[in-house]
Amino acid sequence: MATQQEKLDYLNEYVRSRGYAHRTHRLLANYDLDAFKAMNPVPVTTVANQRTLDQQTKEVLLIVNFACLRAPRYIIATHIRKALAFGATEQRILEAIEVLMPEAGRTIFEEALLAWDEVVSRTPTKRQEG
Amino acid sequence: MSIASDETDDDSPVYRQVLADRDPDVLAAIQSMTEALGGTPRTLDGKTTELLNIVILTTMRGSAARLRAHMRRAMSQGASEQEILEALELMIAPSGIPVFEHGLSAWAEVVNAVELKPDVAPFSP
Repeated sequence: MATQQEKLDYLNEYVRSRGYAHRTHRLLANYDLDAFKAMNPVPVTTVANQRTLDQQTKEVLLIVNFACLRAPRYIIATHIRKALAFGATEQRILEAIEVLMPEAGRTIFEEALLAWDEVVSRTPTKRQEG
Repeated sequence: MSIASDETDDDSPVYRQVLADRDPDVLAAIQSMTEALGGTPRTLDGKTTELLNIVILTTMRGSAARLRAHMRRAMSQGASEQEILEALELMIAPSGIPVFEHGLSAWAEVVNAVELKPDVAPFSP
């Protein structure tokens, strides 16, 4: 059984390497650290590690992926912030979100657009689960 | 009117063929929107736009034919087979294995991927 310090150390390292820890991560760290550790290598390998795609492109792709999944707005907003941190412009991210319209429809597009607006206008997200 | 199967790779989805025949005004509106929102490069380059379309179509479980068409377009815009594979792999954690498999299956056909065959029989010790 992991100690509280071991849980906190792992969560802190997660935040340092990924730039965030959503509620899911914070709960798993506290209640099932083994499962959290088992899940982590997949996003580390496919997202965090530098391979052929650059980090900015990966974050832009993740924005539309999470939007299509109807993920909570705070998750979409997190990846918008990460894309900006990796050098994407607000306009570039907006254009990526607009690509959603034809294939994913207006409902999904609007949720991503609202997330983008919250990030670029610095207004707090209404759903603060994250 | 003959409607081609959506499983062909002619990049002409069924909806386009039906609307061309039955409601060309709506088809023109869709084409105008698609062109404005991704067909003409602005800040986003063509390669990234195609990678976005691949991720969107995979997540939304779009037809395999349309996925293959966008993968071929991505490659014509300079995307490598590995880059498209990595774009699909990004979706494993958020979307799950079935979504990834949907995209991977189309990718395998586009790149003529060869499966590695095991030396041992299934269920052998």
